[in-house]
Amino acid sequence: MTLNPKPHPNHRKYIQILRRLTPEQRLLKAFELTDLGKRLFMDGLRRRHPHLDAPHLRALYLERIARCHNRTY
Amino acid sequence: MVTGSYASSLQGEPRLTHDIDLVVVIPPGAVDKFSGHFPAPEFHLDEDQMKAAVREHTMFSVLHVPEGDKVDFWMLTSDPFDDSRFSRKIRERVLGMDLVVSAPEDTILAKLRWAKLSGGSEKQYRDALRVYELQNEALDIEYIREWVRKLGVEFDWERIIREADV
Repeated sequence: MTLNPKPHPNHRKYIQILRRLTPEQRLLKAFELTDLGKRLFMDGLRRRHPHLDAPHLRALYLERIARCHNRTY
Repeated sequence: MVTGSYASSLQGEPRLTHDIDLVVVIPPGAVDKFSGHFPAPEFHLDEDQMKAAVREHTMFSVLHVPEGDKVDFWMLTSDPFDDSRFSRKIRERVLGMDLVVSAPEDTILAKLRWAKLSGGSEKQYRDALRVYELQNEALDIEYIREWVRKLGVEFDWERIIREADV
């Protein structure tokens, strides 16, 4: 059973590229992606709630992040 | 010992994650020393929750309040798989530190177990698949097969064998 219908024609190349990275480089990539995700998330909140000042926006961000913890399976 | 998605990012496909999962041994006498490393208000650590976790071999969390980052501390249990994976932990030199990480076989098995416990998580399955694809020939397949049987995760393991593209 395959639930992912998305084609991945360059998959083997992708795996080869990931293999060439050191474990440290892969971990740094995870940090980078996590940081990017957080910044995008904050940017989205800012656009949806332009009336909120920085402290309120921060509070909303933390509340939303807390909702994600251990629930994003 | 680092486990979860940071372990799978080290050994498989890097991805965004909301928390850090660590399997730890904290003797009851070390609770105060441990919590001293996470002072309020920068960190949120419920000491009662932590003491209960140490006593009952469950888990507790530490939150970094300014950023909302979370670390889950899973107490090492007497569960045979916990015993096995903790004894097989490896060291990776990362960012100038010696990081203790679960072996790739155990990262796969733990992910498959979470996939099963969560009722078929694609995210957990995909993490396991990518570690399998990247580590491939270096894996101890006999060890994985033995624990696949013991953990009852045959369905997703067979799916990995079928879907891995290496």
